Amino acid sequence: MWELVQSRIRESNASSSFSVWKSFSELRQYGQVETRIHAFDLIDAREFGWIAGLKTADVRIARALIWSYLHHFIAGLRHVWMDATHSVSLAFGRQSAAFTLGSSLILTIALGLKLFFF
Amino acid sequence: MAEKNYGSTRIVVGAHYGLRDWLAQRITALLMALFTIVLLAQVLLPAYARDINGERLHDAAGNLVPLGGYDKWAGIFNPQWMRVLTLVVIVSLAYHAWVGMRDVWMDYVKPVGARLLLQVFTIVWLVGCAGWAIQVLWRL
Repeated sequence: MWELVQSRIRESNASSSFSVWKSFSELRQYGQVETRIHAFDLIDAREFGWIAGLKTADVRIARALIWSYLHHFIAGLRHVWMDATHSVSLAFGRQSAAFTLGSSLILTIALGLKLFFF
Repeated sequence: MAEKNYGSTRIVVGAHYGLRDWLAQRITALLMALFTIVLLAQVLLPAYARDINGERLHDAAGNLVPLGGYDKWAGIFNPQWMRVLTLVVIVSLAYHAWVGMRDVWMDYVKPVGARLLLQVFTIVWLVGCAGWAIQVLWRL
């Protein structure tokens, strides 16, 4: 299979990712979708194929990292907003903190579904 | 007459790096926020295969060819403007993290030797991560 892919790339004189993509779409027409994915992992996606091989624990760590990033992101926006508008009331502090916690969790769930299930 | 050293013009610190770092942390934060929104939008919205001229490709039935997985990911970082934005964000992230971690070490680590060691480790770690990220970016 790997030799077939290499010869296809040579035939198409692949100088761009498009011609590589085209040669792979030809392979897909032969009903070799599964092999195509693995072949792609070997060529361009050496660094990307690891996503498919993630274990449950790795996915949990990835979700935790996504959550910590998004929480920091939204909390940072909250700080910039408070700096810019001089919002220093206790009520605003409590409401925006709750919003930060809730929205970062919702975004994490959405992104986790997108990345690992679709 | 000399500037009065009390009230609103009183000089409380000498180096003024507090304000500079505070401002730098806000500006780098906004750059990273912009990048996050741009990246999230591109990840969550569908992408379609294009030829070298940027025209969308169609399959035999005349339908657009949706991109997924690595193709889509590589396509997001392919345009020059996205690479430049990502490079700016890598540098911003390192500087942002340096300001934040230095504050943590200054606030919570009192022994000077341990603080210096942790600060040096932070710099080495952040420079290493930035170099690695730049390597990944330009190899993609």
